[in-house]
Amino acid sequence: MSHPRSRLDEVIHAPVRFSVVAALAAVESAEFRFVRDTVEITDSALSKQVTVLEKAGYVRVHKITVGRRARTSLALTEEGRAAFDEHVRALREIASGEAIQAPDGA
Amino acid sequence: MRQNEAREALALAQEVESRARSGGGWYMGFGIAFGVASFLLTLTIGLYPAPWAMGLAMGLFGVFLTALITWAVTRAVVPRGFGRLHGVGMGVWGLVYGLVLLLGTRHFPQDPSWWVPGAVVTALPLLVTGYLSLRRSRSSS
Repeated sequence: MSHPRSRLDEVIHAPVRFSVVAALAAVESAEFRFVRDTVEITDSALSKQVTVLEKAGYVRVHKITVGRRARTSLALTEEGRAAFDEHVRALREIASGEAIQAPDGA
Repeated sequence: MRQNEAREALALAQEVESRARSGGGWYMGFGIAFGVASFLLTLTIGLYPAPWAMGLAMGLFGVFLTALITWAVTRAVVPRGFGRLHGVGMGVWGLVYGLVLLLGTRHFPQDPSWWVPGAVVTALPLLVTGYLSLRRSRSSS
């Protein structure tokens, strides 16, 4: 059995991206500014992380114009949701100590 | 990654998820507003079936609904499972509203014992979906 550490997603693992994905996992979609305030980072930092997540196919970016305002909404793709679930499962296993006990218990 | 780091990451995720979910709480307000408007519309149509009263009630309902939808589409968060939940809610509302109006106008014209409970029933579908969405937004995944 492989250590759950090997199942941690490299893209999601970075702390800020992890927070962004966690925020998006809890909703259907959210506006860019809402995610920025929830994760407590700057516009440019979020923009940079969203680009990485979008390139990985984990986040979908949707831009619409309401009146004079341009609004950007973010949503996790199915792939992103599955990757986050798997990442959290691996974290839970590490946190519970199962990975350490496994070799003795086998 | 160490055990304590994994625990910290999970705690952080839970906190962020909780904050994000709370952003979808507006749908309860939408459900209440829609429910009240539906109650008043049904009651007016049932108890005051004069053309001018019905026209006025439907006109006001249309204006209110337009304002409500405009407000809803400008919210920053779409709650998880919103499309399905709201679709079911509106479908049930349409069915209930149609039945209350159909049976009421045929068999219970201007009878408060039909129209008052009937109006209450039409208010329920979106109150229920709003409540379900709110409950979901307060529970952890």
